Amino acid sequence: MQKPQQKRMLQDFVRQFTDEQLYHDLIIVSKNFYEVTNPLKKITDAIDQEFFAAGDCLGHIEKGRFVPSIALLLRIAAVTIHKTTVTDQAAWLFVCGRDVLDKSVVRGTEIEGLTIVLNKNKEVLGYGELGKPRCAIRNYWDIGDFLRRER
Amino acid sequence: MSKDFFFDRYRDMGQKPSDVKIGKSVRFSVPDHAALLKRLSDKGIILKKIPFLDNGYWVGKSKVSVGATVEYLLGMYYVQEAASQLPVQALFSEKSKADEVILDACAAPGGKTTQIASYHPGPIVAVEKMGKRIYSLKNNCERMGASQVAIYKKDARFSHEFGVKFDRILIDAPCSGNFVIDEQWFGKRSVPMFLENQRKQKEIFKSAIRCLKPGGTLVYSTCSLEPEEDEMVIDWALKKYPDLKLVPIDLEIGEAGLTSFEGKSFDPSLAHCKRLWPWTSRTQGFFIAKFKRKEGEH
Repeated sequence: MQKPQQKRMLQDFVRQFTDEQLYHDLIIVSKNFYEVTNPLKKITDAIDQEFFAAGDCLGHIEKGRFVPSIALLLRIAAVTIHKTTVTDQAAWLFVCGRDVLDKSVVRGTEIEGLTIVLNKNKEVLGYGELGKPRCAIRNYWDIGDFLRRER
Repeated sequence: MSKDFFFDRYRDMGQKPSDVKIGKSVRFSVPDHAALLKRLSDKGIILKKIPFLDNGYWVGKSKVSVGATVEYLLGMYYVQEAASQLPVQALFSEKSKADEVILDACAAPGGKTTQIASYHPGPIVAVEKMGKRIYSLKNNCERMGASQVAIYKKDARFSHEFGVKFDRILIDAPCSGNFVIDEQWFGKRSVPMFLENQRKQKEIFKSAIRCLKPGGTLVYSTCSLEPEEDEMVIDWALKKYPDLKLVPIDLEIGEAGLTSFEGKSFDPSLAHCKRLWPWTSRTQGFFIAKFKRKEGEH
């Protein structure tokens, strides 16, 4: 897949939440999207080697699908109305990879589609989709991924 | 080699060695420690401030694993052994300016890199040569929100090839470890192994010096108690690089570095180094040396 196509995947993901421009000057390395700003950018520009990772990783492409990072979800959460707050117990289950049930929703958007999942402290736990069968929010990605990656 | 061999060695260094069990510890990365302590206490995790660390806490009673909480996943703290939090603390005992550039020469899995990011708002270059470990470094930087870090897959013996000069450098050098963190340590280690490590440590040091700015600071650390990997490397560095000098380390723990070993005398300034002996500090073994480079052209 060419880089312009890959960038469009990120844009399409963000557009499901907001029309705001949340990033500039993306660098794609091995299907990972990075935003590197000054002063770090001055250093990476001076080094004649491609970095492995730098700045804010905004997501990556896995099996043909865009997977957002926590950094991107935080930027989205700051501007979008598509957010849902869940109970403490549901928050823990969500970061264990589980879906959220109706009874566990404290407040949030009722618009079907993608939603950022928050705990009661307004901290971003991940994202999912409202309106799927047999649950309130289908889990698409959660911060428990940081542990699962290390297995 | 045997436990007796090493304990005799440590006695020759003026110590009274004994077996040690150390506790788990964490490093907070949020400004409001009281709020995080309350959140964790509500989950049955009781922490106690470690007096010689800026942001370190001993883990006392814990109903759940400290590495499996929402707060951990949100990057509010890092599970990091107490002594291993000291080198970065030493490197930043003088506050840095935002335009300084920092090198973490042996960075994975990222405990010290993310710790550097908590002290320093400016650019950080982190180097790691090993495949799997570099992914852990990337993951930990993401989890901890360390967005001012650039990670390069590179052997630290060639950091000078970046062509960038650094204001501060951390070399937390690969070493033979110590018996506190590995039950099988005694049987797996030998003096020839320490000397082979020393060779690699010197190569990393040589490369780092080539990219340290005049007036810059370099901290060299290991989790080894063996002089071959510690004082002997430092003594060699002082002889090879006359524009480097050791400076006192502003830490409330640790004993002075050795100024002699097995009949060989070292530069007297090695007393500025810090040694953490497990039976005294109740941490894993550690060694820290802090250098300043003279101002002027190099």
